[in-house]
Amino acid sequence: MRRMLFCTLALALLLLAGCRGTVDDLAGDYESERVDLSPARLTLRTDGGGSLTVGAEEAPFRWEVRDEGRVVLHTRQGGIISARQGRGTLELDMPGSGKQVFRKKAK
Amino acid sequence: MDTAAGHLAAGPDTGQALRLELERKRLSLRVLLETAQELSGILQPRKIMETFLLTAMGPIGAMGGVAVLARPASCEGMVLSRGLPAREAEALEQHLPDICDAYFPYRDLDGDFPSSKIRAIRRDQAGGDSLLPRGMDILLCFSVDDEHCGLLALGPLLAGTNADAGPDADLGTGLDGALDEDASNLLHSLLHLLIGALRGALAVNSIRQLSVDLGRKNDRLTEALASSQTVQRGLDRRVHQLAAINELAEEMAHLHEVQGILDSFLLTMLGAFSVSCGLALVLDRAKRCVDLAVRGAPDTGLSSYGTADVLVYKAFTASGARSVDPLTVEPVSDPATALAGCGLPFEGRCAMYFALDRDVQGVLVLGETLSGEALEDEDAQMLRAQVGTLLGYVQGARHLAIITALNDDLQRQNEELTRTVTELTEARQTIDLLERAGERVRSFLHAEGLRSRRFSWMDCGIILVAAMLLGFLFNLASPNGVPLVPEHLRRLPAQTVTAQKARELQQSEGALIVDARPQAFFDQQHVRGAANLTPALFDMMYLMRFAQVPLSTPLIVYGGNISRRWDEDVAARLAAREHERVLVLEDGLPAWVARGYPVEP
Amino acid sequence: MRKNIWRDVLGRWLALAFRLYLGGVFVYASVYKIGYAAEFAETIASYQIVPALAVNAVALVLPWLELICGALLVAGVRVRTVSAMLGALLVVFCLAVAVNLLRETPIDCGCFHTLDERMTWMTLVRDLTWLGMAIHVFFFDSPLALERRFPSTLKEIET
Repeated sequence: MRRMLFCTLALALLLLAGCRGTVDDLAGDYESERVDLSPARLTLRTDGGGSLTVGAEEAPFRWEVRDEGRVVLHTRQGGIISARQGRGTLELDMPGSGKQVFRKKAK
Repeated sequence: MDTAAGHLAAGPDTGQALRLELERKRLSLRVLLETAQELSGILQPRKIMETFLLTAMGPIGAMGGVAVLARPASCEGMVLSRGLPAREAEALEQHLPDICDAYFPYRDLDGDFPSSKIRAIRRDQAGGDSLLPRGMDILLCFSVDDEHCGLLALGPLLAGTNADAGPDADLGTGLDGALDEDASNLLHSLLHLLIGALRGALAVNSIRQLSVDLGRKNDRLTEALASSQTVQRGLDRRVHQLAAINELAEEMAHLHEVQGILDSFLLTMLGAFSVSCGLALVLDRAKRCVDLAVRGAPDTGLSSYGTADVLVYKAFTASGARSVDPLTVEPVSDPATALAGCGLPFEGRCAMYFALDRDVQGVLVLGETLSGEALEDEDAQMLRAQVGTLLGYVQGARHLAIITALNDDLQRQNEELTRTVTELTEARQTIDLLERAGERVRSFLHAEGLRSRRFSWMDCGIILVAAMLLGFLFNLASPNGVPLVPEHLRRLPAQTVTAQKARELQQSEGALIVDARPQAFFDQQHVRGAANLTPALFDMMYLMRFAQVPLSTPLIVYGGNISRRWDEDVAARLAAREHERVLVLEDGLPAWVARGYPVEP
Repeated sequence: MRKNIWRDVLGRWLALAFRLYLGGVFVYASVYKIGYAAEFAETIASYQIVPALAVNAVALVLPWLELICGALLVAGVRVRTVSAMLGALLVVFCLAVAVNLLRETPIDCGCFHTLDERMTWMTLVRDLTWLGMAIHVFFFDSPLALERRFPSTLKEIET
């Protein structure tokens, strides 16, 4: 019984660490690479919040990691944007305008 | 005298005779006087006898004489002789008992002596004829007092004075035939004198003897008194000791610790035996501890276990004990040398080794007495007995300690038991509670089971209401809540435009067609050249794609259905962003398609 | 005898399995929807069935209904009522899916997440399967499966 409990706890800790790792990896500032659109900055915070800043305006959202390498952004109005994690990049699937790559800014 | 006068009167020559007669009488009286004078100052019977014999022989006219003074009861006495050869006199002295037997036949008859009776005995009458020398014809027996008898034998006579002696001279008056009447009377008188003198001398002698005896007895009494005083002192000491020991017993009966018992015991022993310093030590080998009491001397570290062990061992080897038997008490012989070098603070004069059992042993050492004398044997015996008593008390104290420990243990166990009982009772109550709870759960489950088998509209309603309540409340509390009423109903509807007009605006003024439906619908079919901008992603999409669109550009929004007017929502937001011409396409995409305008894909 | 066993297995025990499965599915499905009510409302709107006034309300209530019913089903409480309710919900779902399939509306199912797989006829089949399970539970679930177990356990404890 005690052993089982211990194993469960260890597993949970491991999972948590794994999640935290990806979250920590993902969090940060990203910048848009496409030139035909306005220069945008995407910020993912570690607390699950985030924002898209263009010029002086910013749009808030929440984000979560759903599967491995797949990030989902939720807006407050019920919108949802799927994103895919690359090497230091985040590829957003913008409805109606195709993929848009954001590159992570070095800190 | 009367008879003599008669004789004189009867003589022919009366004058002559009378004068002679008177002369004789005067002579005899003078003899008597002289004799009385001679005898008067003498106190020793022997001297009296000697003097008497000397004095009596002359007037009587005897050549020899024997005088005997004897105690017939014990056949002893003295024999004096005069005018006899030395050999015969010696023989006479040796024959004293025989003389006694022969001449004092009634010596056995106690108290039957006729006082001062004088008997004349014929020679042939007596049994001891051969005992006396020849010629001793005049024999006179007399008794001095109750115990002493005397015998006087005289003869032979010088002159034939016995001419007158006739056969008629009887024994009663004339004594014997060898003497005439006058001589006989003189002799009697002399004898009376002798008896009187002897009596006086004997009385004086006996008084003197009594006085000597008294003195001796007095001495003896004094001695006895002295010895009794010595005994008294010994008894006093013993009583003192016993009283002290009695007090000790009373005191020790209240003591429960070995140390206290040792202290009071040592104090009492020092007092009882008048010893200046002493030491009592009990060694417990099992617990490896030492109880020590020292009086009258400094403590020199004997309370350490090692030193005490050495001391006890030496005492054991020096004592007569051969093995460590329980309750052994043995005196230690010559303690001064046996216990030397053990760290004793004084010189031990008397020591006792004692053992309670194999583990508990000890030593009692007493120093010099106050008087400097060694203890007497009786004291040593008493000391030994007292150490035995001490053992008893020490054992009692140890037993008490054990009993106390056991009692405490028992008490603790009792408390634990009580606690256990309490816990059990509590557990019992808990079990009762759990049983009752279990019973309720069971009945509840049973009821539930029955209810689960039935379909109930009420349950449906309850579940529905619960879901609504929870849903609305959660929505209120949630930061991501949604408005219950659609937003477009609260606004004025946007300006509309027909499909035809919209087509014109698109071609002439470069109006931007906006598809407000979700991406899936947009992907399925949308107006050619339309941009997808849903209200859900409005902020992000607008910032990224429409921020650069001039505010004067006409925007034609479409997309809506029975459930949601996306076009109205987007139009309102665009208007809020100060776009000047925001129009909503009437009837949406179907109208556009119906007109045959181009669509994608 | 063998018949009885089969009846037990196909009836009571299968119903128990269905019950637990179905309850779990509904509980799982409800959690995401409760967390992202706005997205669920968009999904409902995509179905184009519910009138505009009711969309948000349905989006708020429906997940909780699923959660409560699923939980009760797993727990085995009021199984009949709950299974009937779930059956009704599934009927509604099936109808909605069928209508939209016929309309060829290009939408996700939205059954579990917002970004689900595209709705197909398989979705309808799955829903129908679940409906069948609910019906099976309704008719064959024996309350004894759970409730009978408790008293016996209690008796064991008492002895």
